[in-house]
Amino acid sequence: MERLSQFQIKVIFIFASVILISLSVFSYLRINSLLKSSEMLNHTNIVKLELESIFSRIKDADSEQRGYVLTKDLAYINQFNSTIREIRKRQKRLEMLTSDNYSQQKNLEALNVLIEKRIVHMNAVLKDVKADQTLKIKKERWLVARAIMTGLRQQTDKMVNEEQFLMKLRTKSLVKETALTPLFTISLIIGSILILILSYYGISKELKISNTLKSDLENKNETLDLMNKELESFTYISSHDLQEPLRKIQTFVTRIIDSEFENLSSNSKTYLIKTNESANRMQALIRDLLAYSRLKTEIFPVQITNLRFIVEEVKSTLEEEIHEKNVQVSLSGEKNVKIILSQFRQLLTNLISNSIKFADDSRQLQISIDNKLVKGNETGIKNFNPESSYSKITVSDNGIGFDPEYKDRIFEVFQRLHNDMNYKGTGIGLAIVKKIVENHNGFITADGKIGESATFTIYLPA
Amino acid sequence: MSFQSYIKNIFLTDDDSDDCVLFSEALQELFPNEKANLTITNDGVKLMEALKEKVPPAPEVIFLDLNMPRKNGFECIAEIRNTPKYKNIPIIIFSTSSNNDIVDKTYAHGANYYICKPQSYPLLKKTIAFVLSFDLKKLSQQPLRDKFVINMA
Repeated sequence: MERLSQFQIKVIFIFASVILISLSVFSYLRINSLLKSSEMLNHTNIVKLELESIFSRIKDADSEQRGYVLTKDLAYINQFNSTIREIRKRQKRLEMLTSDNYSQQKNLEALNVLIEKRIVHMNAVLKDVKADQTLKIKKERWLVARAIMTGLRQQTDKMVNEEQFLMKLRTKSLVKETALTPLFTISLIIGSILILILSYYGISKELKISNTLKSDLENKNETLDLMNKELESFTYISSHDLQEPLRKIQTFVTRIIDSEFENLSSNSKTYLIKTNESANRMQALIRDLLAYSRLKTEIFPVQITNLRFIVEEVKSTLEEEIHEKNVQVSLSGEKNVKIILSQFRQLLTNLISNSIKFADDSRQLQISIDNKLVKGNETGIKNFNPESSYSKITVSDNGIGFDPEYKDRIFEVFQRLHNDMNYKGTGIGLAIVKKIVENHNGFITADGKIGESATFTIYLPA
Repeated sequence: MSFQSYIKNIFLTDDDSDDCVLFSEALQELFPNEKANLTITNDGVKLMEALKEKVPPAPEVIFLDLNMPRKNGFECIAEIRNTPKYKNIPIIIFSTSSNNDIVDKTYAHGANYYICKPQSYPLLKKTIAFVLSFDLKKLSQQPLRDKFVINMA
């Protein structure tokens, strides 16, 4: 199955987000322009209404003026004045409504001039009639009035037309602007739905794969658990069941050695002693192998410990051998090490008893332990962080040494450099040492000179 | 060396007949002139039956193996410690195992001492002699954990 990469998933989601964002922007713009066009329509209608109502008021004023001229009733004058006030109000409102439009303002000025003219004319007629109740207005004067009214009508129509034209123009451009929007919106919606469906499939496929992997992993973990349990039962078998018959062999052999030894032939005595030694050796092997296999499973936290404290402990554990061979153990350098206490104690015990085992009997055995702090780049070990600090612990002796050719092999399980029966051992001690160093994420090297010395250098993270 | 005068009855429960023979021979050799009364049973069920039959008087000490058929050592300790008639009898674990978890478990169950079966006959004798040299008071009290395991090697 092909898997979506992290990058592909990112691209899909960025793409979907961009589409959704543009969708929202376009919808917003569209709604905005719809609002604008309805506002414009509204504006145009109001302007139209105002214009019409001004014109009709002027006509009202005109008829009131005529009413006075005919009847001389003062009520007409009052009516006339309030109509004029009304006209002034509407003029002001129109001024405000057209404030955003220069040409309409010009038109309005022209309209206002005409209105002014008409009002002045009407006032003059009224004034003359008031002064002389019998006055007959000449026909020419009425003709002038009519001409002004015609002008007014024309100017009003002009303005209404212009307003309507403007509205058409604006709506047209808006329609042009928004004509594409529905199509675009729909395609965007379809696109984003498609992307959603695609990503649903992609992600569910991804989930399926990861579920498969997860169950695979769980199966493997189960198998691993099972294997671990088998290993544990093997450990138990070797620790208990294998040791049981061995212990019997040892016990019965020693039983004979203890009580029947005198009755045996000298050959039998030798064979029995050898049998006992072999049994003891096998026991040591089982014990060490067990210790080695346990090291893999038990991981403890590290703690900062005084090295002198551990050295003293180890010395008291090995007190008998140290005393017997008159071994001198010296310690120098830094005080503390960062270690898993029980394991490091084992490590040091193995190294020191190794030194004692391979002592040169012609001289006093001297074991020197030194502890130094070094930087990773001084150790020459590739895996170490060059900037970090490491404890460099050296354990060196003046024993029989070894050929440096074997300096790697001595850490392998069951590798023994000496066939001489004088140097008995299981061949696991140094393998345990190496394992412990690895448990500390450290590194160990060995160096030696035949007949002179052996040196073990341990680097541990400090 | 002789038996302390109070030790007359010793129980040994172990399904391994070789170990039973070795134990009784070692005891015989250690104290040839004493009439030690060693009662050997081969599993926990038989131990409980023997206790029912012979107590009182209660044995001075029970040597108890852990890994046995029918009723194992742990069950025996629990049962003995929960029975008023037996609960003060000293129990010494006599097992092949040296596993720390198992030692801890027997200590928690209330065993008095723990012996890991020795690898040689002389050592076996030495260990039995050492344990039987304890006086009654020392034997019946549970020591501190670091003195719990008797190791003569």
